[in-house]
Amino acid sequence: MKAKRIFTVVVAMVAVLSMLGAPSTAAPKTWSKLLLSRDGHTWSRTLKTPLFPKRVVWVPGDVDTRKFYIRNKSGGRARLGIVIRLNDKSKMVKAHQLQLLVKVGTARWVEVARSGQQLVKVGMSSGAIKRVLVRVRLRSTANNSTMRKREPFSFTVRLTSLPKH
Amino acid sequence: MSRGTRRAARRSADVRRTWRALASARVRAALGLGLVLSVGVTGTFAFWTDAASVSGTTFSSGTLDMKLNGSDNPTGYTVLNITNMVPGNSMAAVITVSTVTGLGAAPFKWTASATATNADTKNLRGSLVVKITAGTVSGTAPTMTCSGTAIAGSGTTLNGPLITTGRLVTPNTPDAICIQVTLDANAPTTLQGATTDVVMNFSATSDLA
Repeated sequence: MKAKRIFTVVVAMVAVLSMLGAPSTAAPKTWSKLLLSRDGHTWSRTLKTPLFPKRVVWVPGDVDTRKFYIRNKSGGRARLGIVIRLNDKSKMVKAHQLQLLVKVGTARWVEVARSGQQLVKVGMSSGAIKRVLVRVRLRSTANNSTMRKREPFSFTVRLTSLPKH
Repeated sequence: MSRGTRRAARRSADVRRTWRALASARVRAALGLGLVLSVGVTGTFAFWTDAASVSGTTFSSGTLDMKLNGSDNPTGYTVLNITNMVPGNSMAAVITVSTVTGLGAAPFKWTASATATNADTKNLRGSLVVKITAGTVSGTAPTMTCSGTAIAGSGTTLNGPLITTGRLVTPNTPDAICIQVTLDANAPTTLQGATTDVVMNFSATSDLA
């Protein structure tokens, strides 16, 4: 009788402890919670082609808008965050000669001012898809100092789960 | 009963009381509730994140580099020079406008103008008639001419606009114009011994509109 009680308590404690540890150990084993797409139909972990073609030569006044899609495959509500990464070695962003704009869904356009800038933070329901527009403009006022410049940039897209209501 | 025996008996009684308490329905219910609450709590605070990178995007600006007869800034351009010019004489030369080749070279449109000095105040520049065509040079000095008809809107003097409507140059397609300068057949005799120095200015813009 005494051994049975001890066994019951131990099982209960093990159950509680296993529950506490379950989310952090089990999560990485599942498939991607975040998927990307260029066309909204074919989804993958990364985009297979660059947003802007490499061979395009930009001159002042040029503007181009590209899009990609983000899908919440987590099975729950999540918060979407997008952070821009650029080194601005060309100084064109700082000098307001190169303009980078991002628009997520129906939200307003957000202009990139610096690397690491959080461009968007919005909620996404399970299975939701957000379209992201990226617009690059070499301002018509850009002078000859902007010739022969390269400015690589990337976006870090992050989904974070939100508590269930 | 010795003191040690009594202590052992008390301890045994304490253990029995503890187990009785644990075995009670209330405690078991509380433990069960704790288990449920624990599960609930872990569900609430279990945040996950997933991140992806959209990379490989590089913005590359182009190069606009206009060349005149293959040079950046040709000085001492003497092809149109003539001495002892008399009315009716003409000189002509072709100027090729091009850009660099290779990745990054941007197409452009160019225009040109000219300034001519009048240091001796005789106004020779006012009697020099310009004709600009897309043709080639024919004849020899002092009766050289440009073939073809004048480019629409091109200038006719050496002290003003020469090409006002932008002409397209791409890395693979240079542009060439022929400039013919003629001393007007009706030039006054006061121009004898007159001199003028001419500078032609070429401008390029990436605005192809």
